[in-house]
Amino acid sequence: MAEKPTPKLTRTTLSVLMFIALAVAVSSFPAFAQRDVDVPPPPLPPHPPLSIRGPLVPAPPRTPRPPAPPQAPLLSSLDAFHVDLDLDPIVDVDDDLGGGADEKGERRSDGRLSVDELIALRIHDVTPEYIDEMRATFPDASLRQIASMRMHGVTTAYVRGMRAAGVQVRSSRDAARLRQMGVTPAFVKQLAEAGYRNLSVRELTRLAAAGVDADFISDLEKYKDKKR
Amino acid sequence: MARSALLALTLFLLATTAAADIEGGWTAQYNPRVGKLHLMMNRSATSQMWLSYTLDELPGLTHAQIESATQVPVTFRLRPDAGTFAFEGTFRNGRGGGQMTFTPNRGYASRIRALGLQLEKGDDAELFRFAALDVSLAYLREMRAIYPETNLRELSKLKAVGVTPAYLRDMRAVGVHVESARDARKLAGSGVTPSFVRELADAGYRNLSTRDLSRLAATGVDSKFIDDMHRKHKH
Repeated sequence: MAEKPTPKLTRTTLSVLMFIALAVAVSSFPAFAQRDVDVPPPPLPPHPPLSIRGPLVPAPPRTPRPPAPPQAPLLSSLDAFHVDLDLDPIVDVDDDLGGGADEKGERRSDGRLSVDELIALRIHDVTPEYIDEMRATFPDASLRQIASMRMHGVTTAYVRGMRAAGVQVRSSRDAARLRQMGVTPAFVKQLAEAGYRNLSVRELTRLAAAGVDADFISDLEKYKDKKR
Repeated sequence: MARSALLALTLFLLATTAAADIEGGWTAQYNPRVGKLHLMMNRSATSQMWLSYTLDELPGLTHAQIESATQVPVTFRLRPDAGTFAFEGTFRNGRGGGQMTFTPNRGYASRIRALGLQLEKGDDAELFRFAALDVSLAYLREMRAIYPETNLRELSKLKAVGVTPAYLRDMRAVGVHVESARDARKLAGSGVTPSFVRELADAGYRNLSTRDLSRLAATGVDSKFIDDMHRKHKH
């Protein structure tokens, strides 16, 4: 009696099932395991002791340190927090614009702008209109100083706003510093409301750079009178 | 017997594949201000080339066809040394598009070898690129005479940015001696032209290095900008 042939559908189903089984088996091998599944790494073996070249000899007895001088109590004065955030190098306009030197570091003898200066002015999008606008506020500003202000996003409106908030913005350098550190009229007003009025440009930029704002001051106020 | 037939079929398929033309598409736009047709050829979704031609470089295509107010069918050809492009499609009001077929010239590779140069892969895709850039054998010969150490890859880059013996001559005439193929590529690639050099010289900037020229052009410093800035400059 002839054997009954396996129906086609059953044979296909068997093939598919075998394929799936094979795929599952293969994927379970480490080399084929799915890479993007976040599997925690196996625990590391205990770290071997640090190797020491030569025989282990006991360390010579340490000379006792002299007693440290008594430290000034924390929070006793603002000087304890004095961190000199001198921002001048950050806003060194001459460095930003190549200081009038050309590619070889030579200044042009004809007094014309160097190639580096021209490129700096161009890439910072210094336009004649912007120069006129800023010179209306700072008449003596050089092109380098104007480029620095442009680079940091100083506008006449910003300078007006800062002056209206009581800040004495005397020079283009002051304006560039304040803007670079993110000092805004709102920031100045907040500090004034927290009791810090008539701050200098340097103080404002240091506070902003260090992240001291009205919230921080208000938080610290709670501890001002607490005995340590 | 069956094995021989299979082998023969495989060889036949390989041969037909190797000899197949490259099919692709094209779109174009005519710029009457500069009198050039900007042609974009694509042979796949990721491979596109933009090139510009004057009409006399495109035999079979007329100004009347391009600027036709109604859609007109067009066929035209380009025959650079590396192969032939055959374009079919339509144009209307300065814009066109259609199908493109590239037939590689396989003799190009051997002629390049005769110049002492070597294609990297030597496949049809590379021939397509050299044909689209119109890297002719005459161009290679002339440029090799100027920069003998330059390889084919660098020469094709020079062609792509428009460095020609005439460009180098004109630059030399305005005082710029382009010592290396690399400098030439940077200058032309940044858009430094002899007239740009002259403008800068007139504005007081003479004898600039190729690096300074490239930087000035790349950042958009031109004679007008220099003039504007110097009017505002306080010494």
